[in-house]
Amino acid sequence: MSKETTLQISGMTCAACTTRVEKGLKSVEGVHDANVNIATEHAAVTYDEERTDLEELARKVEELGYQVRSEEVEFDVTGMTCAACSNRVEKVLTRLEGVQEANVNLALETASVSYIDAAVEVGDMKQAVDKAGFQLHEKAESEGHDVRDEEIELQTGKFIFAAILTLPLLWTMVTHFEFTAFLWVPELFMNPWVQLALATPVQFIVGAQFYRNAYKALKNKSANMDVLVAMGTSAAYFYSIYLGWQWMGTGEAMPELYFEAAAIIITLIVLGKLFEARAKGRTSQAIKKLLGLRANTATVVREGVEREIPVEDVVKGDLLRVKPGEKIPVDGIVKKGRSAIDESMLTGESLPIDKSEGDEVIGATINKNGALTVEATRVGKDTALAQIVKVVEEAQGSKANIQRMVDKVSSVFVPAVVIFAVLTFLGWYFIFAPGNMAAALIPTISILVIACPCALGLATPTSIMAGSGRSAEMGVLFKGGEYLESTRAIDTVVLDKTGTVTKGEPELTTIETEWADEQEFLRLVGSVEKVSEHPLARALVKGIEEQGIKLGQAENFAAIPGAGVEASVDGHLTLIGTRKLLSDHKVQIPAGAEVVMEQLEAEGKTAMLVAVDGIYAGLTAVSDTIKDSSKEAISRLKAEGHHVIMLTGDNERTARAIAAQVGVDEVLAEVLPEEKSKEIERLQQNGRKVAMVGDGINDAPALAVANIGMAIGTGTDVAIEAADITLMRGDLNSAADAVLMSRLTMRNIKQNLFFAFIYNTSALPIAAAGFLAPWVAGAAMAFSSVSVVLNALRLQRIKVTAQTDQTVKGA
Amino acid sequence: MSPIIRKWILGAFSWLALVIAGYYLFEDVLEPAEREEHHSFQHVSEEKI
Repeated sequence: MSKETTLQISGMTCAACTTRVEKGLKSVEGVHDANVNIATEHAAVTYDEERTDLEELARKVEELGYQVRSEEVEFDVTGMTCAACSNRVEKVLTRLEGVQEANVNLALETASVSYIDAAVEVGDMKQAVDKAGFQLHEKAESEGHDVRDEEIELQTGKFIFAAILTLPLLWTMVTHFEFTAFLWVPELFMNPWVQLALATPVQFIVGAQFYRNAYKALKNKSANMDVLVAMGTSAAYFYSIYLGWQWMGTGEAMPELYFEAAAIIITLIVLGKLFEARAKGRTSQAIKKLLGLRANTATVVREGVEREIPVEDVVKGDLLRVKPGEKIPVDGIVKKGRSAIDESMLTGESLPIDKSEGDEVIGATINKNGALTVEATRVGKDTALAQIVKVVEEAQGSKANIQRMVDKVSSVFVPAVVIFAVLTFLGWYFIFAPGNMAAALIPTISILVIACPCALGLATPTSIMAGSGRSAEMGVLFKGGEYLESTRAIDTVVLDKTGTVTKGEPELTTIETEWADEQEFLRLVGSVEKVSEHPLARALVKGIEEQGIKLGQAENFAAIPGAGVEASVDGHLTLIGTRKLLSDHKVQIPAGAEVVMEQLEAEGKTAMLVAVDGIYAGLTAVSDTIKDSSKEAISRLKAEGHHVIMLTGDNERTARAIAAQVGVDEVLAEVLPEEKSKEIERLQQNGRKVAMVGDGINDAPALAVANIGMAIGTGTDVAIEAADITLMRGDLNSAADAVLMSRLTMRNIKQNLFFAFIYNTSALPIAAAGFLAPWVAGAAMAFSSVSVVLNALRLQRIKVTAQTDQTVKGA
Repeated sequence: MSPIIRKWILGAFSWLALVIAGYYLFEDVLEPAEREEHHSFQHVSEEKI
């Protein structure tokens, strides 16, 4: 059948592109016609649905070097109970034509879908998922009332209802054990009809959700925990009715009934789910905390009048008044005033930072003591806080590789368990206890109940959520669950020197000149360096200007990467740079200068030689201060077993001096900026798994090449593409924190998986052997999920005591 | 306490009261034969456990 669709295409720049896309699309088998409009960036395609599909068209467009623009939508999902359900929702969504990717998170109860706008609508997704037995609520829709809170209330009500009716049944259980048999039990609760009357509402009102979900799952040819619970409790319930019926009027001793088993299992599982829902709510607390940081109102000055408006109404360019003690409403630049700003909530930096005219301020930080006038530069979704929330949300919603494996296991787990339960039943009924229905049924029920893979499904996502949330609070933003996972695997940490190990703000420390007129020497040096962008040059100029020297104009400026600069000032050709630069220009360097230079370098200073008109004139040195925290952070990284390498463009001797002060294992000196990524590649070729820590701008290529790229001290700009992890604090300890959080989160995931597997697998043979009463199975199964979630919550309490030692508390 | 939870609690107690009342009203019908006390029941239970 012929179908017409419109694709949104991006990346087209000219008419040639249009033709290329048109031709390309037409070459796909099954495409009748393609029409591309560059202005609207639309491609209208008529194609045969049986011969090709949207995915293929999108692939073709991508092959040609363009992108089919896709939309993203976020949903809250209700009705999911275990990993099988989330798999099911994911499958239903991805099967829809036009849906490119669907990611369902069981723990967050969310789904994020990227889709081709023209091909599928949000309504279609809701419909399809609804048919499968779950409900999608668009994020914006569900914002007003909290779906999760309502669900918790309903489940609490159901649990109390079930508990009240189950308690009398539980009371009758005292007769089951010799040591409690002396306790009095009212006659009426022993009556099978009374037991039936108490168990029935629990089975069919509270338990209705299990039947409903089980039915939907089976209709879709899948099986989940609801199937197991419904099967197990129904077997106990209906078999008891049968026995009660048989007993009626016989006058014999009352047979053993299993109403209490069915009711207790349902009650406990509802209780387990309740605990789980509450705990899951707590794992997403990091986001709530972040959102709570936002200022609600802003005082804006428009047309000379001050007005208080909601923060959402602030537009770019607005002038905002911020009084002492108030929160800065949005990101901006200080236009007037001076104050100390507390940025600890975003960067973890404990000391307030002084800000004055021209300095950037971040929304949600607190103005401590002075009144400020701020011009809004980033508002709404663009603010640093909004970006942080987005990154954390994406990380929490993403899947670690280990989870994909778990998903696969749990999807085959339920059918396998049902088969195992059937075999157990047959084994008992025909071989071990021929003809004894009760003896065969009890282990079967226990197996069905104990084997629910809920804990398995929750193990990874809850840890990832708690781990990435806690990291965010510490100022470490993981861009996705996979990085939280892979950071643990690194063995080598490469640190960029400038701005990472050191403050990146070098200061002029030494001036040595052959000239009598030091002022003139400095004037020439300053005039040349003024043109340069290099941080060392800026330090020199700053130091010289502070001495009150007026700088001149430099001509014919040239920067020689990794060597230095040359320019003419007042007709004097001035060279500033390394020994190599001077010797390349055949300048004789005096022996005395050589000695001084070596000495400066040994102190970790960067010395620069100066020659004017081909004659050596003197030298200057700048030194970058090492950050207070660097030494401690490096020793923490080493204690984690990492090989720590410092990478720098400085000469070997200077680099070694700094390396010795901070205690790195290895130094790679004299590395040109563009060679940094090659050094990383070389390390990787030697079989090392490398994490690179550097700033997000100059080190971007190296960050991208490294197995894990950490952008440090970027504070406000969290969305740096090249980085896998953004360290909001300038402190190198954050890198150590990132490594630590990764290790602890992965350990937590493994503990969780271990718990979950242990519950499921070790309990199965015990249940099959008939040693596990069904109600115990129900309790164990309910609390396996709870224990997994509680274990994940421990990650939220991790405290890293920086500065003094590297003790980790709470993990 | 939220109205949802209150509704469920009320429902549970009402049903429990109804069941207890029903038992005493129809005790003769519901307990048709004299039982051999709980001992035999206990015996079966121990086997199960």
